[in-house]
Amino acid sequence: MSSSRRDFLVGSTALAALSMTPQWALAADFEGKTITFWVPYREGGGTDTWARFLASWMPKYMDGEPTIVVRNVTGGGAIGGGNEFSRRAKSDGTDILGTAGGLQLPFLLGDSRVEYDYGKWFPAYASPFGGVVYARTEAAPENPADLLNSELGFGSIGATGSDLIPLIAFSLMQLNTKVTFGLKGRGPARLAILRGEVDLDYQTTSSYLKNVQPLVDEGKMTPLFAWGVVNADGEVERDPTFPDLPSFPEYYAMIHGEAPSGPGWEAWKAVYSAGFAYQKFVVMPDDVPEDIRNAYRSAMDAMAQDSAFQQAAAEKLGAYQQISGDVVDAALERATSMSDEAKGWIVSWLKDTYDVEI
Amino acid sequence: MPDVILTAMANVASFAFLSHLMIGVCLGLIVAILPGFGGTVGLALTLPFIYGMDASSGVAVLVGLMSVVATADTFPAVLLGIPGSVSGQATVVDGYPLAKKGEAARALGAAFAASLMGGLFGAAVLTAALQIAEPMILSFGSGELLVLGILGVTMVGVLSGKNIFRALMAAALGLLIGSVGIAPATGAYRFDFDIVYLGSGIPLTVVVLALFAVPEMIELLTRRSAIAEQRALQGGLLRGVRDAISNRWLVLRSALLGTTIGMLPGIGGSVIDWLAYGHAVQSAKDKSEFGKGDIRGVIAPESANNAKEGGALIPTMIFGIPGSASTAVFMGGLILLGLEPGLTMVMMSADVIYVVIWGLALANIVGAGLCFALARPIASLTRVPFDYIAPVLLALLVLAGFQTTRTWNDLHALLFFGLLGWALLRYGFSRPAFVIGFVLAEGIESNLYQTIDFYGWEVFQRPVFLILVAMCLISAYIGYRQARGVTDSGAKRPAIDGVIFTLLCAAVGLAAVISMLDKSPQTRLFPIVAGVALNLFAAAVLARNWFSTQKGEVESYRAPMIAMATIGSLIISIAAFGYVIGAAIFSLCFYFIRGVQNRLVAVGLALGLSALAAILQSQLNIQLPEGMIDVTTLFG
Repeated sequence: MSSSRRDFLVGSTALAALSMTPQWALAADFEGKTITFWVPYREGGGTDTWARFLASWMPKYMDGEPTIVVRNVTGGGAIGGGNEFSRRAKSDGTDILGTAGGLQLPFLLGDSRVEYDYGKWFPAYASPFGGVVYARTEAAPENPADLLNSELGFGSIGATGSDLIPLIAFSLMQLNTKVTFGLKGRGPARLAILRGEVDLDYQTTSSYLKNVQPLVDEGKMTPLFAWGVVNADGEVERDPTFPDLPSFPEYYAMIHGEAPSGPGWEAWKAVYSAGFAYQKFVVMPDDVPEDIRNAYRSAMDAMAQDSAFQQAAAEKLGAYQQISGDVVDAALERATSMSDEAKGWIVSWLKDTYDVEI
Repeated sequence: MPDVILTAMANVASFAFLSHLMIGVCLGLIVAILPGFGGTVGLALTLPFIYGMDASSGVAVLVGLMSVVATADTFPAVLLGIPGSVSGQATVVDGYPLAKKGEAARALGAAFAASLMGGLFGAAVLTAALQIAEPMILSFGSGELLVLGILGVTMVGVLSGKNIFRALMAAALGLLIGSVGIAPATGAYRFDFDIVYLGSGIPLTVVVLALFAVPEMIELLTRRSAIAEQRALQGGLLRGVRDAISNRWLVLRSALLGTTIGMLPGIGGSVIDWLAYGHAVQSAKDKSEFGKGDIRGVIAPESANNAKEGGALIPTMIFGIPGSASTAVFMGGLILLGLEPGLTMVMMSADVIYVVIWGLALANIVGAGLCFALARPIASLTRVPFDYIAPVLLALLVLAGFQTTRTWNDLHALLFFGLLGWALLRYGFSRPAFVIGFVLAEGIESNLYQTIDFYGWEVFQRPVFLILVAMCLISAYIGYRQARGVTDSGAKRPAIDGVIFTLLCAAVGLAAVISMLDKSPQTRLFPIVAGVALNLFAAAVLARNWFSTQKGEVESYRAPMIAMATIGSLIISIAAFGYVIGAAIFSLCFYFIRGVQNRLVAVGLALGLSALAAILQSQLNIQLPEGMIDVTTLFG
């Protein structure tokens, strides 16, 4: 073979090889791509609404303005959707997942149904939430310490989901609560307290502001405390949306004279971080190419800095600092890890209090 | 208040609103006509589009779609015997026999007229009730909801016709299978065999679809003719309308039923049309035609399920608590538009509520009008030889079933419950009874424990509770009288294969009871009661069979087996090649094996189906089942 022909062959082979390299290896451009935003919850619910809200804002900040479509995958509750994502999601950056407490908590507690692994997911963004605990005014105490003297009814979905947060909290405070399980969600629980069937309830911030605040203004309901927000040091501070309401540890101190401590308190903080303070994450498989992962993170960071987005988000998602940029790693770490001691405490607490095994 | 209403009126009358309403209505019509796509699937489709629309237009699209689905899902129910959505089940019972008699147009006419009247009634009640709705919803506590659920179960007696014990057995089986999942009182998993899909209970949508659609398809595949057994499609639209008008008090009562029960969140919208149907039977002097094509069996549920949409909007708008699955999606849509239903909306932006109400009323009118206009052309589809449309229908069914949770488990459930539905049909067990048990299981159980916890014996001091208990007793008594007054001559008795099926069910019940014995009391009570009841009724069925004089013949299994294999092969094809290619391959093979005459049309249909599926996925974001070979990646 002549050298010029060989050169030609080598050159054209190289050219062919280059042209077959995925376009993305050259630059994280989402032009013409359709991204599937998996949501392991039903249409119309809280997480679904959050995801669709984000999906409508994200493309503006991503190179090439891709189309983002939401795919609701349920089947076995959120766990089923999470499992399906871990099985089927592509690693080219076109599949991302919205997670919430319903995915994080079972993972945290080692639920045998869980096939997915947060350790294999890369977080791009997180939206914290908060909540408020309130009581029917007729049942509300004059002083916090009076709570110990009365039996209070509380409606719960189940002992192993997000309701762990109030259930452990009430237990730590040593309240005399009569818990009835089997309610279909916090919405029906709200209905139950309106009917006078239960005395205590809690709602997420957005639901509280929308549905309970008017009743508080009318005097029918009395807020007791807001859970609070977890700061960078891992301590619980007052919720900025409710500056006049004590946080849970403050309220605890008002009853017992000292701040909560011990393995039960550590367990509560761990569960709270997973269920509330870092409630919703946007994640993708961690074997997505690095430049694409970074493209997501910086795009959502830019989105979070945009004041137009902040304003819309404040209305839709509450006045919480969205978590974007590299700090999301720490947030996910905190949300999905629990010391063995704390986990052990929860497992035996569940067995002793509600005869539930995980 | 009046100026709020006037603002709302002006809004509704604007061109932008009306044109978007039309879009919603048309989209809803298309979706509802396809069997299994009605209800939440259609609504969910619009969510990506309405984001970014101005609030008023977005609301128009949502309301347009939601209200027309309840009218248009009559098409597949009457013409194919397949409920278009979960709330179209009862219409099948008498609507489909009417179609088989060649009176499809009459059934459709009556249904549309009843839907229109019911829907308008629902909108009117919604307007009036806004003021008093709040105390009404609050006065229905756990105790009242419990008895309402039991009332639903007493309707089984009404629906059972001559085979009361078989119907009760089917209901008990439904209750048992309905308890699969998480026990409400304790959170323990029951009967889930460690399968995640079963962990949260078997989803209703795919169960109803499978139970009614698959046996129908098997039946049609074996008969190999057109759906309408008689050639003439008697022009009966107007006759149907006259039927609805002459039964207007039934329409009104059904609408009242639909609205009131629709207002109570959590009772399950799918029970409402059975309650209406049951009421129609119980209040009729001549009950003999029910189940064979009594027009009242179409009018009552159709009126109720349109009125229900208006009713379900009340807790949605007032409390921000959705009254049904479709209003849950509707609420999600409102939130995306920046509207927040709930107390805040009632106090600050009540005009939105009135816009929704009137949009609902208007959409009902427009939707009914469109349905009337399209009734003839769509109804004439039933005269097409079934071989041509069979693969298309089957493929659509599979797609619809898959939309339940968008995992392959949906298709497994489709096959399982399809088989069960076929067996129930063949051996004379009432499928409506099964569905009633299945739907009400969770509600009855959780409300039972909640009533005990919240009220205890004091519940007997609540007036509404006592009224409902009385209604239960009356309803049960009527069912009992009806069953007793029947002579045995016309009843179809199960032959040996029916006996085997009965024994199988009894065995399942027994196994369930035994497996629950070591669980905590609150976990095991409900399934044990269901399992024991199942065995008691099975014994009654067998006893009756033993003592009967006429023995039934074992009908041939060959044809149904072939039909089942056909359906199975579609699933396998999809599992291998993915939906787009798999459905096309199946269709082509089907046409070839059946020896269809017009090759061109056949190929066109097969390719058209694939093209439609591809469009649905790319444009409307409908998820298609993926196969092992993901062919779509070839196309980028």
